[in-house]
Amino acid sequence: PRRMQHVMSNSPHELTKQRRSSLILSQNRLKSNLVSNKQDEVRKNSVNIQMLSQSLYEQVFKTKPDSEHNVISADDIISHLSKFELWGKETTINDDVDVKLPRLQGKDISEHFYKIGFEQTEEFMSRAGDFIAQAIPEKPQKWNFKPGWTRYNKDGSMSLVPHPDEEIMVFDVEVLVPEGNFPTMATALTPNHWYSWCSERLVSERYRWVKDTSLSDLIPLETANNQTVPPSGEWKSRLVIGHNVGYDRSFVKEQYFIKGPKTRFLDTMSLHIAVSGFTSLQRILKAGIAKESQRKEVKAAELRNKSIKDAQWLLEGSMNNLSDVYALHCKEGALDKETRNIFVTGNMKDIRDNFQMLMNYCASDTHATYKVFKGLWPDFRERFPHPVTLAGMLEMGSAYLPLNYSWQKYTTESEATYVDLQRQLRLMLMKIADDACLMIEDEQYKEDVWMWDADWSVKRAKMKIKPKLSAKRQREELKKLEEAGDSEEERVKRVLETASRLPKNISHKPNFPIWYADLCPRLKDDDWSPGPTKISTQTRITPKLLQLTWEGFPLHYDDDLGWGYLVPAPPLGEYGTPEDHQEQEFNVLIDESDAGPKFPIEALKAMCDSLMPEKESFPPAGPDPRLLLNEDIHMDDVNKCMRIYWQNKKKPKKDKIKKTDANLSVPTYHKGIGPYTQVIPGVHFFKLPHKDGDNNNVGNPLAKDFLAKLEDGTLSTVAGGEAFRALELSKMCSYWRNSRKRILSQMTIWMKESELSSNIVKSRDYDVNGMYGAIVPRIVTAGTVTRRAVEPTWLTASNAYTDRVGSELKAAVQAPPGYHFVGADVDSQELWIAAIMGDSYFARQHGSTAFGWMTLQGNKTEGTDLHSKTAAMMGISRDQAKVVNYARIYGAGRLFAQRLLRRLNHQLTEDEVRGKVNFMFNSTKGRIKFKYDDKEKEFYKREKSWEGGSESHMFNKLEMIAESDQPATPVLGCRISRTLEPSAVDTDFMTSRVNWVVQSSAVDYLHLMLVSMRWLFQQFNIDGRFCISIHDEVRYLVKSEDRYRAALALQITNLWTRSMFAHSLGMSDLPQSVAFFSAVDIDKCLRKEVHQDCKTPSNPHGLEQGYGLPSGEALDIYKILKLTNSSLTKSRQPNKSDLKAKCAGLKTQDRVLEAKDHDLEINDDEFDTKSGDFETKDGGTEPNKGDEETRNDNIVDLNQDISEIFEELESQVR
Amino acid sequence: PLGTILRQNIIKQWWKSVCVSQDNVFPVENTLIDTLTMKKKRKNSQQKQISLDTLQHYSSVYNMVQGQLPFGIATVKTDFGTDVTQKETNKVLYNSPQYASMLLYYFVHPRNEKISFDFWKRHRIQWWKSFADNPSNFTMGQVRKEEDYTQLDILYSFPWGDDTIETLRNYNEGFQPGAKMTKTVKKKRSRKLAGVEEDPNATIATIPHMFETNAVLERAVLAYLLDACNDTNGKRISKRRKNDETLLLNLHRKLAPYTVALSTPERPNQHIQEVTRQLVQELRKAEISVLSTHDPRPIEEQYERYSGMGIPLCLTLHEGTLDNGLLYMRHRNTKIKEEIHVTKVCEYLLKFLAAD
Repeated sequence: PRRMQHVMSNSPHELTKQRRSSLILSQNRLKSNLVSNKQDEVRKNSVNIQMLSQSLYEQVFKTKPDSEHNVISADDIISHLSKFELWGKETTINDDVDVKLPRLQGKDISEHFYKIGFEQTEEFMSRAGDFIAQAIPEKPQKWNFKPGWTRYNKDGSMSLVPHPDEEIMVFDVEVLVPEGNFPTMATALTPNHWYSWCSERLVSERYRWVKDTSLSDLIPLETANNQTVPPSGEWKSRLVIGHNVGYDRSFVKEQYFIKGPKTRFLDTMSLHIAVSGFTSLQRILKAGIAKESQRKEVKAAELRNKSIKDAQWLLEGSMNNLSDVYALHCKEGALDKETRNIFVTGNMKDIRDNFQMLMNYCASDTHATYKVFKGLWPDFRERFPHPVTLAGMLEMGSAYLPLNYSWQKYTTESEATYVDLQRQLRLMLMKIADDACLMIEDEQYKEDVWMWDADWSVKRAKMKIKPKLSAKRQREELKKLEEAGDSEEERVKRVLETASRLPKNISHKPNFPIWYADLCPRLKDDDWSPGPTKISTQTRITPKLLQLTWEGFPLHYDDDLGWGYLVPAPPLGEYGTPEDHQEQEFNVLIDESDAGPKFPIEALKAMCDSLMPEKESFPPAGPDPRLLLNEDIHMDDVNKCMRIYWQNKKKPKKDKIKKTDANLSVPTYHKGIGPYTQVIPGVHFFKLPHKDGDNNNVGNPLAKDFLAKLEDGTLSTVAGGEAFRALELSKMCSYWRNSRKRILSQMTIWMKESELSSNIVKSRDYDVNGMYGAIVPRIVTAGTVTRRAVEPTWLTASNAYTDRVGSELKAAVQAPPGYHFVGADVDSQELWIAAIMGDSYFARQHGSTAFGWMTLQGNKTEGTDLHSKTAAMMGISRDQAKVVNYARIYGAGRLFAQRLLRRLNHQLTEDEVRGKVNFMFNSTKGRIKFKYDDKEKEFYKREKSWEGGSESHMFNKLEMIAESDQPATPVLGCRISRTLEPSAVDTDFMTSRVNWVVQSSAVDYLHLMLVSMRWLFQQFNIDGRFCISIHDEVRYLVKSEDRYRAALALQITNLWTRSMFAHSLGMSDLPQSVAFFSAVDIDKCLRKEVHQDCKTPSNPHGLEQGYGLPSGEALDIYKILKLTNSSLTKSRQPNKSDLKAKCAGLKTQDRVLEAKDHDLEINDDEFDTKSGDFETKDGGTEPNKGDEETRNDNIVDLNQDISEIFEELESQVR
Repeated sequence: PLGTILRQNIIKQWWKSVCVSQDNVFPVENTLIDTLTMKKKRKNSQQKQISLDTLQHYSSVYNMVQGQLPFGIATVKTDFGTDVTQKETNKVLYNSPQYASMLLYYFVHPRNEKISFDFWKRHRIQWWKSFADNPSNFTMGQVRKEEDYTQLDILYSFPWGDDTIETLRNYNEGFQPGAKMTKTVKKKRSRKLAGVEEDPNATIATIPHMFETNAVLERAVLAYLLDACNDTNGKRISKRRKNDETLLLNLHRKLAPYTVALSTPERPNQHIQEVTRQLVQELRKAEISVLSTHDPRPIEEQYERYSGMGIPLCLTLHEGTLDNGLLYMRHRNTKIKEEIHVTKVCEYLLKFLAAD
């Protein structure tokens, strides 16, 4: 019954009536918490948290939800909060905010959003409905080979038109990839006509030298050639539908105008992903089944569920490419995709020669997209009933990034710096190699624990042997010599003549050790340069030259096991069994018969002794460490068996596999992947950990995956100085190395003065000599099952780091003259969403759960915020605690936390680790409690719930939603992908599903904001547009004079959005602390924080000096209200000097705020790294630019949702 | 003598990078008189910072390129006093009363000002780094905004800290000597304001925008010498090999006073000397700088001496050479004696010098 109650409470209209009285706390108790008079004036709720001011409260919550409060009594709340030492703590009080809000549309906030969302999508929805209901025109038999648009009339005739003049269309662009970012042909299908478009370049056979795409190369959808306004002078609203339409949109001319077009783009791929997309884990599994893959995820799933091939979810979804989506939603055969290859590998002539066929192919795609849309649209409408969802997706699809000269400067500087650093790196490695060469003297290398097994043999220069002459010839020669005389000239000549005896292939670097010679190019190579110039961080020998260590042990490469490190075996007899002795002695015997180089064991031992000051604490005092290990061995057994199984399976021929044996004398002072005892006798080999699991071999310890290890010192070098610098250089280059291709291939359109908006040209700051342009990012508006937008470059853009070349990427996007970016980060968005769900579940009262209270009122100085509490609990830093907290909330389990803690703190024993993690989990998530239903014993139908922790209520609520028959977000009622519905997956993919609740609600949050902002901009004539949203931040591009009003609009939007959440969860009030953004950033570029100077190796002078870009403004609600006179309406005579004075006055406050911001912001750096990890994941298989279909799948791979990372991590630990 | 060669090699590389490999950069020379008179004049002039003696060539160069932008004027000249450096004391070569400037004035269309200045910034710092053994010691200083120009320094980390070795200046719009020195300017460039269309057909002479790059040769010599020393004593301490302390000057092969040195055998052998002479002649003909002096010391000591001079390669002819033509080419940095045939040496060295 309780469960029912909450399912129903999802909708504010269906709230069950409950007793109200119990929750109203006695006034006396409240009074006892009052501290000052100021507190008397503000509204507070029963747990002493400041609520909205009376005025705002009345404006937002006009009508209370038709409900009364929960059954939880006040005493229960108090006892819960007291348990976590939160009850009675002082709460922060802010000044009340009083502002006259625009009147809500409808009777309450919920209706308001429904109405404005409806308003923004009404036209499109009805057009879309009509489009799929009516018959479509026949596809033309023959296509017109003329530049520009051709319309195919009903009577079979064709007419050239400037652009299709219709309200709705399906649209598909084809691009000849080798030519660069130029659209080649396109087709459009509307309710009335077919259209085709050919590029000038295709039809006229001129070769174009210009590499840059200009506006005139793009496809016009609304304006005539060389025009920047539509023929009628008025922009019309249109809907363009396409599969991955963000890609097609980037080839549409008008989309590069900062202002004007009302065309919206609807992506069938996003519709598909929302309705029936796979999670990335599911995609791996699906691909695995197809290929009988051996990937560990597939195997793990098979272990759990033998019949994965028959899983229902496989039938409910498909991959994201058009062909598969078509097959799923249209139940028809696959599309022909072979033809596409011409666009990928062909040239213009190929296109011309196959014009009819290719245009037909393009039209077939358009047609298929139409059919997909027809199939998907009703499903989408049913599963995403709230108009805000569609409106939000359309808005996301209108992203726009303005550029100026800074972009060019950024790309050039980054590339130049990168090349320079690569050179420095190579130089440094070369020096280290030179230095190592010196060890050849006296064979010193034999005592070097790294270089001992390099090939130190040398080749001598070879000459052909003097031809043996017969005695007669010899005599003749001698005679000749005598005749010629023994002049200096002759003698020298004879020496020079030995050249004839040079062999055809002169030996390479004679007298150099082979390993060194291998690094030197051959003299005949074109790019020959002296020295070992072929050395790089990729070469096999480099880690050894750098004298790398892992936790102090030297690295070693094994042909079968990849990179690992060497640990001295424990002294015989100390821990080992007699059998071990035999084995080891046996090994030594083998070694003696082996002619290969011998490992300098003594040197290693000496090194370990000197390097490990903490050695004395190993083995640690206390219980025999082996006892602890044994416990673990049990846990890891499966893993190890799997490993052996895999090794045997992979290399069935090799039976000399260096197997690991858990019972063998494990060095007690070291724990790792291994040991493998037969790699080198007397020494244990441990593998370096691979991110894809222990079964994988590490190919290069200098790869990006190990950067973090380098940073925390796990991976290090004893060579010091230069070697360390080399690692640093490699690290500095890493970001640009991984991103340069993507960034440099961004399609940038530079505009002529005549093509620019008058807003820009008329601006005071306009520079006639400047460069102005834009990027239209190719966003997939709902790219994951959580409906998060996906795009590989911008939505994963990292923040600027001082030691990463090119990481100032975002700051290179700069507002044109006359415009400002106005934007904000939603403060701790996901924590708050999770918290409010818990609060609503528990007592329908903000801050009633300990987790909720900490999120709303937690205070760093008092140690009452979530991160501080966890940090104290686990004995880690607050930043590290953030990782732990997010991980837990995203669904990571105890094993993950243990692993993390072990990594963060080497000093802890296994017992301590487990103890701390258990304590942390018990006090946060709580303990699970099963309720068995006696009547249905045979099914073991159970009802589980979490109890006793600060987050138990939250998890109960999330799991309740995730496990309901039709999981849907509580705010906008968005259903989960069909592939994750309980009917399709039963109890599988729980982490993904629980996480989906929060993530998908966060997307609801974003969509609500986008819709509200659009509405406010329209209502109050604010001249601006959506720019981009990255994670939980939104940015608008606003005409400078409107920027403060836009900032106020953003604040109001936040208030409304949060209120909408509260309202939808049955709470008719909102805490003041979350009502407004702590700061709205008004800035000229995109950056994390307005005062950030984004200094990086490629931007050594920072933004201010290097780019002439001053700090932006960060304004809180109070300042914004002052600057706007608390009004969204444009003041008739903006008094600029007055404004300036106000700004000046605020400057000092600014600094205070800045400090405050720092505390408030949720530092997502950890997650940036994570998204970075994905980059590498697919870094090797950089999606082919033109290969649209594969790319679509790849894009999504780049951005798994966070839950899946943890799922993956966890599955490894399991 | 070695210092002079190093100086000349640096100048050679500077000319190559600034003048030879750029479009329309022309060398000029000043007489001492010019310099002195201009210096006097300058005392009264506002343009204290500018080298007027060099800029007096502006109009001839301007005519030479027919007014086409961009163009440049380059010179290496002796200067006096402490104009460029503020009174530096206690620093070697820094307080010298006389010094040589490697100076470039570059003129661009105002439209290309940013792009072009960014180019020169990169170009100059890369030049410094390209001959460095430890390029990271050459860095770009902070931007300084002065009244007439924006200045950027290229710095080297000297033992006493970062110090300027070259200054780059981007002169402000209002401070363009080109405007005063040539009378080609008809009207002031006016900023295009909203609504005020300029007549596109009117020929408006553009005032070229001026940059200056000014490197001090003495400091370059000092910086590269310090850079080439593995540690402050010029001793190489191998991290791998114990007890290896060799005198080593790790000069870039293009700056090294000699590309190659010839060792002399411990016991003189007439035949070997003959072949040596022949080889040296061949190398000289190919314009490869060779050091071939008699040194009676043991061969290892000779090697060490040449390493200390910064000579990257050393050739040793020996008895075996007479038999099969193979000689040793000893590498400064690895100490390894590569074998090479006497007829291949010249080809190798030419490649060695040509490589980037």
